[in-house]
Amino acid sequence: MKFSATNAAMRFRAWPYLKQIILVMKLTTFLLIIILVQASAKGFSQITLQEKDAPLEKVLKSIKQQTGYTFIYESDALQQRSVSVNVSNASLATTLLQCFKDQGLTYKIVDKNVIVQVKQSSVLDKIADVFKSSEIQVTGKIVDEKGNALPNATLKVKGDNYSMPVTTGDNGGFSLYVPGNNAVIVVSYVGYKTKEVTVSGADVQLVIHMELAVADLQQVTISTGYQEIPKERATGSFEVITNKQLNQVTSSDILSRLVGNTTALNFNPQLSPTSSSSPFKKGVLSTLNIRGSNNLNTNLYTGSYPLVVVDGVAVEDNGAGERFSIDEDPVGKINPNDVENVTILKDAAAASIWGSRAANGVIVITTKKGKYNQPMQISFNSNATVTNKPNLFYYKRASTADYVDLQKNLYSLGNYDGTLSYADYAQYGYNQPAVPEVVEILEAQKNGTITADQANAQLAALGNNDIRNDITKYILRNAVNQQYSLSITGGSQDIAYRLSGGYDNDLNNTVRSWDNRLTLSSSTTIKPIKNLDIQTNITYVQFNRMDQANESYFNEAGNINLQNSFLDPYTRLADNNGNPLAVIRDNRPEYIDTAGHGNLLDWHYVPLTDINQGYTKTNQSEITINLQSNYRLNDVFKVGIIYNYQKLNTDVYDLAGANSYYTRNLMNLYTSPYNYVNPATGQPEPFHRSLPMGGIYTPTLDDLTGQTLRGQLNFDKTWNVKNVINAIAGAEMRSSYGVANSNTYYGYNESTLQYNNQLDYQRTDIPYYLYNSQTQLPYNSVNIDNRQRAVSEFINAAYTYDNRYTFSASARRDGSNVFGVATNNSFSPFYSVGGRWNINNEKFYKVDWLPTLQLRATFGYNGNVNYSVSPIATIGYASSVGQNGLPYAYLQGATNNELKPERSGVLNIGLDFGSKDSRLTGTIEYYTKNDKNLLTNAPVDPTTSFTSLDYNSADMKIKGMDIMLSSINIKSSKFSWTSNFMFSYNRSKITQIYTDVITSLNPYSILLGTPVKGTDLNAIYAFKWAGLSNTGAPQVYLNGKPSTDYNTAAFGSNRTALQYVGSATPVYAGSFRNSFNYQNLTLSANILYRLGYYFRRPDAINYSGLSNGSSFLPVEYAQRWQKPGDETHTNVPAFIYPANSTADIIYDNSSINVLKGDNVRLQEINLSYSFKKDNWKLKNVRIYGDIQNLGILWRANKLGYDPDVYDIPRPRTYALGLSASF
Amino acid sequence: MKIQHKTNKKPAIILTYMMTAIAATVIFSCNKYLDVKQDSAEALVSTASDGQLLLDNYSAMNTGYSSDGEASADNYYLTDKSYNALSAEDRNIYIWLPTAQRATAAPQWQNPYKVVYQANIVIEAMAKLPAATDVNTVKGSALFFRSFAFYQVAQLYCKPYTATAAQDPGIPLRLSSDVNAKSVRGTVAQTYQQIINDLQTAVSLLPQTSSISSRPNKAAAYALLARTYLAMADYTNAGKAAAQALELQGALIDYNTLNPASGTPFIRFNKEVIFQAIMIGTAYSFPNGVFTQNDATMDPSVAKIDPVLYASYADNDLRQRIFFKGNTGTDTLTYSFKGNYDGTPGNAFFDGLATDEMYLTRAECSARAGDATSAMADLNTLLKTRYATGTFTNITASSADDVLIKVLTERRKELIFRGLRWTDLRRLNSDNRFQVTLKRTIGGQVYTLPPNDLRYVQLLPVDVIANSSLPQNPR
Repeated sequence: MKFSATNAAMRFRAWPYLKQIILVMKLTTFLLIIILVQASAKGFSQITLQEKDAPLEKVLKSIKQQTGYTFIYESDALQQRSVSVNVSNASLATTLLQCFKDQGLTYKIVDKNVIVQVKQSSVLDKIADVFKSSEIQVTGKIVDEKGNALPNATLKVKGDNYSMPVTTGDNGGFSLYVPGNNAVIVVSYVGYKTKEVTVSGADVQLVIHMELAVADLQQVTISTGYQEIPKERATGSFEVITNKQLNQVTSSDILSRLVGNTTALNFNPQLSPTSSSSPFKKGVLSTLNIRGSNNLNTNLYTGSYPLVVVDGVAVEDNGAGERFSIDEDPVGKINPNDVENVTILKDAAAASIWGSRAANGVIVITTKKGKYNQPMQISFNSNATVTNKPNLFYYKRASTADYVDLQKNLYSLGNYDGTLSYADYAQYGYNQPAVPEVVEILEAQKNGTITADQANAQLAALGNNDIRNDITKYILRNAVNQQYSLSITGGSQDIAYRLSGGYDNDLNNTVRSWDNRLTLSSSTTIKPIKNLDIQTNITYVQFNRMDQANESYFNEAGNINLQNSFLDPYTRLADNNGNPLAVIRDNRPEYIDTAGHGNLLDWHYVPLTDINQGYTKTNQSEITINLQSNYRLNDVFKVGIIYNYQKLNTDVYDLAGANSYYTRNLMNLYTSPYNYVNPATGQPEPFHRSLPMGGIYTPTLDDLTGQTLRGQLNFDKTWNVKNVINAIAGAEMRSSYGVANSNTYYGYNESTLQYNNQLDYQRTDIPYYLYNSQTQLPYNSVNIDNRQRAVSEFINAAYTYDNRYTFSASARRDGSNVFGVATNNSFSPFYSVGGRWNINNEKFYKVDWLPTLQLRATFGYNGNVNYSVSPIATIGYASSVGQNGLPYAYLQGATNNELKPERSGVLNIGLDFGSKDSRLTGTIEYYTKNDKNLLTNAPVDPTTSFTSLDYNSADMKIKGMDIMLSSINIKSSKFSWTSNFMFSYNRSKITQIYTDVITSLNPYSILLGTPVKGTDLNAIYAFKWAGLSNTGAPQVYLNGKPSTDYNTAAFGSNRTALQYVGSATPVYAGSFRNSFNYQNLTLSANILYRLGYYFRRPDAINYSGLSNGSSFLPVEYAQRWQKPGDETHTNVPAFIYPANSTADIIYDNSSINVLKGDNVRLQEINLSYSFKKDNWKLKNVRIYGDIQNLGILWRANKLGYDPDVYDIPRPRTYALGLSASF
Repeated sequence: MKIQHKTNKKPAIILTYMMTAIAATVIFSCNKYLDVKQDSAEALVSTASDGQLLLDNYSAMNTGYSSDGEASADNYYLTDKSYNALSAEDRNIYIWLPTAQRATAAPQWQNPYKVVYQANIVIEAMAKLPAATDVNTVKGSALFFRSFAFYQVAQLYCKPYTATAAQDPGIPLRLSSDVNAKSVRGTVAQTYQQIINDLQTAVSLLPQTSSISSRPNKAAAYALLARTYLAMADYTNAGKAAAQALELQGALIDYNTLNPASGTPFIRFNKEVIFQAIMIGTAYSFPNGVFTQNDATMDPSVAKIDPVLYASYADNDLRQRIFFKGNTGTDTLTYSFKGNYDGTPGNAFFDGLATDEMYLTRAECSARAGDATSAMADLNTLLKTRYATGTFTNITASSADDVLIKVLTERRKELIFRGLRWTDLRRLNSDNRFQVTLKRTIGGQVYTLPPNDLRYVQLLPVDVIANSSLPQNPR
């Protein structure tokens, strides 16, 4: 039988040996004790013996009787040994010499004991030290081809079939006695070629390098998605995140496991408008970029985030999800437990093979596979994560009492008069738009309904409420995530398999929100005939999510951060007994109570009951079939075909329940007024309902099919030993077809599935309750049918000479049916060239302490096709009719005959080094990216009909550096300490702006993100703050002088009021991870740092917002300017009514409200304990836990802001898990 | 199971063939493979039907026309309280502050140019098609829409048409859809010439009738010609065009058939409407069903009808009760407007073309040509439908001047909040007899706008100036 495959299997096989050793040791100990107890106290004496072929044991017993010396030996060591001895009054030494001659035994006299041992047995090493006189002790280390220690490798002396084999320790070290010079040690390790080493001298410190036995065993290779490249021949910039790194975190999506493990990816929550604590956004791809963003405008739909490749095939997402706001995150569905590793392709040589889609980098995910010649192994992993409730108190609000005072003030100033004046028109059927509760109380007082004392008491009572408490209590909860996964792997000579299943169950932070995910995957590789490998990967994912109805106000955490909520801070969701309360929403309570005289549906909004009305159900299923076949034609050529089929169904069912506020409100609006006369019949038809009673049900069915077919020829040739050429060439066709439709059903009954859509949507004179008017029925039906096709041709070649010099080159061209690409720029070619110099393989290189030293450099072009931008205006057909009752079409995009594709020229220089024994290894990379023809959504002459358009408007240069260091600080048999340090520097600079329009933009558009030549892509600008005036008005330095000419400062043509502060994205970022290992216990902590950037204080006061219904009154309101002289000690502007929104813009964006963003945070701590009890049925038992988002350790701002919070700080999470195999 | 290992060339050959086939397909037939429409609901404008669908986009083509002219005119006034509740921009427009200027092009400037852009796309697409009835209709419609939009912009942002029209800066005449084309102002003469030329072409292309008044027809083109010529004070051509329009469509609503108590006495697409267009105004937003005020100035709950104007309606003139409603509460004895021809409440007022305007235009032109009989005939035809049944007696005029005065008085009373008053003020300013100085009183302070003031031409919005090289209007 042949040994094979991996570590795991090897451990499995080593088990019988270990078991024997343990047994022997136990027996020995037992005997030692017995024999020692029996030891007699007899003195030294002469020995007389005459025995022929007597059992040795009997002879020794006799000696013991004569001398009192006790013999210590293993119970079976002397069995079946006989001896002939003939001595008379001989000394013990002489006698023993005769007895043990040619017995293959050694002995040692220790006090009154004689220790007998079988020669070369390692079992009693310590005791046997003394026997080494006749032997040589050899120590050393077994390492793999990379220099990594191989624990549990087996060593024996050649020809010695009697002795127990020795196995290496965790560090690959061994110690072994050999019978003198020229002995041959045989080293074996599953998966590696058995190696024989001749020993040539005593106490030699051997390092034995093992070579892989089977060609297809995992080498140190890098996957580009198209091919595997041996690391020492790769010219490009790759970053591999190993399985071990991925398992340091327990999150259920793969992308968030990359945080802190790579220098390449920027996770930048600040600039990405996603809700941090929203259950929908767990590591969204669109928030990522590799080595800085290459796009001027991150909200262009496609092309601004990295391409994701799974097992060689790009993941399509077709954009259908975007149109329906469905979370179609293609990576979110991957079960992290099925991922073997992740490779990030950073430079042109690495990524240009992906051509027009590579400009933002490529993330290559390789899933786990079975391996040939591997015994079956079953593994399971389970964990639970608890996430705290989101902290609504992060933004410091002024007290509710202050807020009440402000509203009182606004009331007295007439701010609500316009809204209140609707009361005057009630007779004409006008509704009564809502005013805040404070205003209701004051109105009641004014009308004499309540007394001033009553009003004041009610206002004072409001001041004691805080809606954040209610939301925290009734809407939020701790999130709980559970993950389970099970996998079976194995393989024989011709077949390898892996089956896995995973199940995740999440209870999200908001009530009534949960999801679960089932993943099943099967991977089989067979070798039906020689030289042919056929690999089949089938993955099935079922994802279900349940949420509050879309129409519910509290359906996602983003809505509860209250920054822009209609809910006043004193609003109560429930009374003191927890009974749900109605809150003011669209109309005044009095109107709601009286409108329709009882002929309308209840018009109150009660949030805590409303969240239970209806639901949004998402059912997503995806099946991916990936077939790959490779045939080795001969030593040089290999032909491969990949076919990938991907089918994704996303069904979203939204039900606004019959009793939901949304439904009741809509039904009421489509009710005829009391005086309505049907124009067709002339008959009065008061309170006639145009919408049927029941729920409003909107299923959205989205079906996406993607197919990829690729043919590839691999060329591998080695000649004269030193010359190696690896090349691939191929072609690929891709298609994706998305069909989606969405329809609204009225009068839906959940239990009978009945609905009533027999409604006349074309009629434009449906009576509408408000304003006594007519309108159309709301109609929603969307049908989308989208086909994308693309073809690509690629070639990639590398030549290596003597494992010292490598040159690589690649080229690719793409074509696509997407408008714009087909017409303007189909088949734009992308190429790269690169070189590598393995300095450490040069003969002149003799730096022992630095055995690894390699230099790489590449240059090439990546493309970025933005499918959302087209040079031709296209028309879309509306699915409903307009108010004229006619079907119609609308225009999309603009006619822009000068549109060009974006291109990114990337230069990368990298240095890899490693000290002796890998104590310190690292990579330093320097890169520049020259992005040309960048598209930006920039203002244009509004006379064109567009306010802004996506057009080529700028060039940008990015310079950066990545440093990755890992060190083994302490390494002993029991304790080790390793550190990983990552550092990245990334700075972009706009080098050219093509259009006058952008260069002449006013300061306000620059604040909004218009690129400015010479500064960062994401820059923070601020108005130069000149303090408050003596009336408390904000002042800005305009032309060097304090000014209150806000319009000129913000919208004028000169920019003197504006100053450039710095980058809005971290210029320096990285992580520092320390791992400590004590025996079975591993502790690691990861610290993230982001430096060199600025952010705007998120809670500067905005008076115009407050008078227009914003409910966010920041704490600084208390420090506002109130009387002359205050300007000397405060910067918070006075409350002036009516508020000037431009003054608010000036203050909110002034230099005093820009803070340094630098911070260091403790991202994660994890602890794991591995049980090494091998007599258990379970193997590799590991218990682990982690805590994430522990908090900021240091920050540059003194005000306690977390610059990386977009809306609510990410809550802390606690996880605990168990994994094992058998 | 032990699998026999033997060298078999067959799969190699198959795989090689497959790979070659893929490569060959990609290299040689990619154009065909890629020649698939990306989205079934998405296309280039390639047929007359596509063009018609674009022009039938009611919200894009028939709504959202500029309202600042009406906001600046004298049909209404604001109380101090209402005035103070307005945005600074709206306040400045109301009192004709010399610096009054919209910060953004949208909606006043940009909306009509959106119509221009859509029309240009359609005109360019139709130019590639062989002439046919449907192609002609679509092309004629697009020309009409473009002219209607140009006319709107011209009333706000360039001087009225006078003797200096060939020197006065006009409006940017964007005649191509390419966004790279630079906007230039040209002259007022060029502006009006373009409108007239396009409308004359449209007249020849458009059908006699259209299925709904949101679609232009010959009558609409004549009516817009009449309106344009009138703005140019070319009374001969204006009268001719109005007559041609009335020949095709001359129906009037008998106001006795309307319900004066209704908040919306008219229906949309009523029989007087020749071409349906409405101004920027209220939008319903679901599910809230509350106003979104884009031009709060003229919101009926805010704008009070000029009392002199209100008092000018006779008691038996049905328009008084159909056009206006009395305010209540603190605003008792003030009135607000509800006579919107669009049939909706709120401030999205009808500013399209209607038969009553044509009667008044023809009457004015007849009066100016000295044809008192025709003028009075048109006026009486119209007014008969405006007075309570049996109470109307034909009005007569004492002199040629009196004819014109009577016609203009009725024009003022009939075409209220129809987007026409500002143009009429600009036009009549040149005639001593009809010059008026507009007044606004806020906080006791009186603001005036004397005839022919520079402020009769609005400043181009801030972001138009910032993002183009267009020169600003003088102050």
